[in-house]
Amino acid sequence: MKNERSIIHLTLDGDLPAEERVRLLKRIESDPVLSKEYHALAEALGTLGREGRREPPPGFTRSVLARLPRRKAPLRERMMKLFFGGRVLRWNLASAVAVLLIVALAAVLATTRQSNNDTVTVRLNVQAPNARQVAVAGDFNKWDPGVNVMSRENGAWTIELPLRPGVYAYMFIVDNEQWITDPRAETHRDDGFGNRNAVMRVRI
Amino acid sequence: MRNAVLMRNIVLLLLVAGALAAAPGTTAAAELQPAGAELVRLNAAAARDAAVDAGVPAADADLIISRAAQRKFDAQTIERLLAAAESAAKKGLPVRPVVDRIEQGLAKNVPAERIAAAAARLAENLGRARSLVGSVISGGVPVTDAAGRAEAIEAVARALEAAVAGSDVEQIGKAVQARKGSLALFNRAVDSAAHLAVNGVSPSRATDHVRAALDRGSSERDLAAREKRFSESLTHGEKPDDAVAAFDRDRAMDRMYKRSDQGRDSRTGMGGRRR
Repeated sequence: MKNERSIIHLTLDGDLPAEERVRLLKRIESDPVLSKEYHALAEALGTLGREGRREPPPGFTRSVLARLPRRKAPLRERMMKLFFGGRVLRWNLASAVAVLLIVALAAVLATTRQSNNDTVTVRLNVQAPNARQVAVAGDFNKWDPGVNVMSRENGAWTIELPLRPGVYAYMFIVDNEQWITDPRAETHRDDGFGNRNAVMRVRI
Repeated sequence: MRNAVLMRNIVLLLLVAGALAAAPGTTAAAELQPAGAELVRLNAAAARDAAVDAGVPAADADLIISRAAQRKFDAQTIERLLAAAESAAKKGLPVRPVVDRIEQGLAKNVPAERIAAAAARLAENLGRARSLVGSVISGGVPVTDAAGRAEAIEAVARALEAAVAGSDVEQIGKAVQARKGSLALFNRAVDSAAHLAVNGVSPSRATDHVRAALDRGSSERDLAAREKRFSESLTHGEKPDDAVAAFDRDRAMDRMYKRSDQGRDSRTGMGGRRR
């Protein structure tokens, strides 16, 4: 039977000369068992031929390799592979869009933080040794004398103001009643009411 | 006797009635202040809405009403204050300077009449300034953004308030155009002229001084430094005209030294750079 099956395989594979092939086919046809097996195999081959070649699914090789028993490589080899081993980046459109969104979000956050940091801390001080309270009011606080009250430091009244770049007019208010001009200001300008406002130019 | 008792009872009744009448009257007087402030607010509400509709920021309109009510201004006065800002907004002029002036005047306890007059004057000057800035821009000074234009209008309005003539502003504009300067340089130059004028230099001399600086190629930074130096001179007791004259003297000295260097170069070959 073993010999007969090899005859069938030789015939189906087409490895025999024509005369031999004819003789063997006659032999197969004469034997019902061989004939049945021959036709079953011939049909199977035909089906395989019609289906065509199929590509393995993605990750097939990796999954096969993953199932193989692992040999634990030495530490040096593993480190070399970690740092210098080639890698293949597998991606799809969804992950690419996600990465793009993260980058865009980070850029927006960075810009926002930058704009918040666009203020410059300006330090103002004035000598008013007999004052009980000194405040500064200007167009940066809508001229409200109650917002930026200065503190006394070594005999002088001082305050630090976080301001955006620009030009600001201001005056000091002593004891909540007397408005005085900063004599040390960069420049001064008329306030429209006969007094002079101090002017500071804030630059980055 | 009966009449006497009757009279006594009538007097007592009148005293009790008077006491009862006086009690609610006292309460009414105590509540008059906040109720009055509220009434002023209610009466000014229409003016507030009109100003906000015209483009005055609501927060500023509310602040003006609040400060004016604190100072017990009547509704008509508040309407006048808001009208100045509303007028500027309706004409498409920068509102911020007008609003700022009103808020500043209220904070500094300036009388209402003066605040209203100063705000109206500023609004009028902003209108004149807009046309002057328009001609400077159409003459070739580039505008980078709307904010820059608004700043220029404000700077010119302030210069006009400092008695710098419109024709002098035009001359400064031409000097900036001639050297293809920016609107920021124009602003700075106008600011400098206003600064000198406010501090006692005659407006025409202030303009000439700034124009000369522009002609020599002074930058914004140079003009700022010059302003600072001028302020320092005044702080040290120098007269405004003398301080400006000192700048001119320095300039003449610079020119003299330059000529002197050139002369040494050409005549003797000594003292100059070797070529």
